Amino acid sequence: MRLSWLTKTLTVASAAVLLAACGGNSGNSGGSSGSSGGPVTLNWFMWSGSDVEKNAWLHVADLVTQKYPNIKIQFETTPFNDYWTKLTTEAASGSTPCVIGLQGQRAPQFGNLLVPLDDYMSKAGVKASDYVPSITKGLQYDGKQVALPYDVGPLVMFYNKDAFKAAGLKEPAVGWTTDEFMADAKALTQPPKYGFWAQSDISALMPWVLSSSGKSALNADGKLDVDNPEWHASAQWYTDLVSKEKVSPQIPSANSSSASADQFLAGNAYMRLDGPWDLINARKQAKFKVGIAPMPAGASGSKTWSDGSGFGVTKDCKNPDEAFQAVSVMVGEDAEKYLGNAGRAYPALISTQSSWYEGNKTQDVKPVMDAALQSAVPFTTIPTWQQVVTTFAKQAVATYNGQGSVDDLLSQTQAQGG
Amino acid sequence: MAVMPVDVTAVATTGQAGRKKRGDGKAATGFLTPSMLGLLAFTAFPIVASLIIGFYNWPVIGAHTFTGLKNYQTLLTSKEFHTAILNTFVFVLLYLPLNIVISLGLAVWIGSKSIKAPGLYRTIFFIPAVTPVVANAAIFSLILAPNGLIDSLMQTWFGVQAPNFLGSTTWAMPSVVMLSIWQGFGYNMLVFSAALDAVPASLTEAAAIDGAGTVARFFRIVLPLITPAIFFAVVLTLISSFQVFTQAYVLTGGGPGNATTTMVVYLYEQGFQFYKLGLASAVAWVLFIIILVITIFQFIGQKRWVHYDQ
Repeated sequence: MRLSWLTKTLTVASAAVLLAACGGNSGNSGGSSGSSGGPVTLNWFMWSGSDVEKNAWLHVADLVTQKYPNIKIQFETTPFNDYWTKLTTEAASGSTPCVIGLQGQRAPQFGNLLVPLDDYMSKAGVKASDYVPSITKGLQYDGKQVALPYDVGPLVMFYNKDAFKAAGLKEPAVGWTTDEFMADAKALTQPPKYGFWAQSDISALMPWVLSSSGKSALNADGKLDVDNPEWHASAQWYTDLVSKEKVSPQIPSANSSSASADQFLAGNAYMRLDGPWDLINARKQAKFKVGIAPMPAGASGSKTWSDGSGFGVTKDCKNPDEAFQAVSVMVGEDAEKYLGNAGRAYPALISTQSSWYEGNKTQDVKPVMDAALQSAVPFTTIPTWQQVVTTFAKQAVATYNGQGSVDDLLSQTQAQGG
Repeated sequence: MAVMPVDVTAVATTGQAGRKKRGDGKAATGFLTPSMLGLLAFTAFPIVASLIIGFYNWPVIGAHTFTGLKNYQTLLTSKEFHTAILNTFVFVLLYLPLNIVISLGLAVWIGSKSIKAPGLYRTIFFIPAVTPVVANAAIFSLILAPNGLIDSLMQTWFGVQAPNFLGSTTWAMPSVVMLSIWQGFGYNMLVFSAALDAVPASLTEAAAIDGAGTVARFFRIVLPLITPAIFFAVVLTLISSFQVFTQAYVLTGGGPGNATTTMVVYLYEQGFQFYKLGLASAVAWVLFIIILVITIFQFIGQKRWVHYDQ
């Protein structure tokens, strides 16, 4: 008797606790509902790495309220890496915030959480063609536009201008080739200083494959396709940079994606691949002049990928109309100019890109940015891309350091294609 | 005689005591309920849930489907999982003996008469155990990295480069073991210190008078007397070392290749990077069963070497 009383109490109590917890979560997802035109509070979830970044987003949120006084934005943020974990758990519990940030390469993973925006766009007169095509395409899911981009960036070569000068080398410019890159890297390398710093990320190898063979990580059917002769050749060439030509130091560990940036800024490596999103910060931090060059041209020309991020409206959102209005302001002219000027983003809205050059005195890199954007392909991925990234990075450390074969690297990576 | 009245009262009030007990039971239930609910919600429920989820294909987003034993079959045939099991055993076999020997050795050294302030040394050696693993790992990776502390020192003193500790399949696991020992010996050292203090001086003195040397006294008298503490330390250290995660994850991310992918690193990858919660739950249960079996064998085996009678 007593036992059953106890169990009953506990069951009821624990159920109450669980229900209360669930109810609390689902309640705040859509924000307060209201008829069109009435006051609406929208949750906006976006990553940010510092208070400066967070404040920039808060300013963008204010811009939304300025244009649509009935819309209030409640901003939520976490650092970039936690962002995707939190987004996943929120999606699992059906409590995704109304407006979320999305990176192009994650679109296949999260695209099904988002509302297609095409109808909203045509009604509101928002034209996809006003934005950089590679990133508008990158933010599509199932052929539908699920997010509108605020920034874009092609992967380019960062180089240490002072080191090139000291070595008496001609600075890399639009039109330089892989052979010239190799010659420069060799001339610059004097351990413990290196001409180049290799990275174990698959995204750092992709531009080399693109430039030598024109192949991306996916085939025409959108399936992962990396275990092929073209990828083999480029991966072997890249491995040789570390273990044969020794123009790049060994990869320090499988968990050191920041090592490359740190070592470049510390002046221990004179070239590395990076995106314009890091340029302004790098110029502030480095004690030398930082220049950028397009990918060195291989047999297939100078090709790179470009990725970017944007904002979309989630299916959980109870006020999709207002949410779209908010998004249209977040990627609109005022916000883009502000973000460009502040150096927070290289604007995806083409008409506002000059703000990035003028606001940050980066006019010198415009020819390179133009060339790189011209030759960039979208960073297309598959839903299991995180498995590809993780598996590649771990094995690449061993392979690049001479403790594993390129066959292993590419066959293990290919196995993550699902 | 003084005991008698108490017995009488106890017998006389049996009926009352029964009712009283009933009342206590209710009060006890009331007081226990909050923590019981916590235990149910945060321990019992997840354990049962993980057992169930293990039989499903359970992505975080999207529908889950019952797949029976498929997750366990996948694990049985997965080369990476076999490597993860092997890596875990390698870690345990390197870490456990070293940890016990070092912590016992330090405890004996601190307990010896030549040490003036044993408390100070105990505190110093215990500090690594209370500092956050992630911070320790971050510092170790700076020390171990190329151009890091060890590499720089070796280049200055000997003119040779140190191995690329964390980027080499040969050195990565020893580096993880090294960090774990540095981090973990303090706790066992305290356990052993307490056990050594409890060894009656009369016994060692008697042995000394009988002509036993330092070594003989330690191995014949002290060591057998502290075997319960050693058993306790071995069981707990073994369980925690099977669950090694943070050190490997922060230092090497489980790489290079799969050189430091232990079972829990594998679980984390599958569950929280690839979002295959069903497979990750199955890994957790395989790990649980391995630990359970080994711990049972330890309890059976203790009869041969643990002396509880003093």
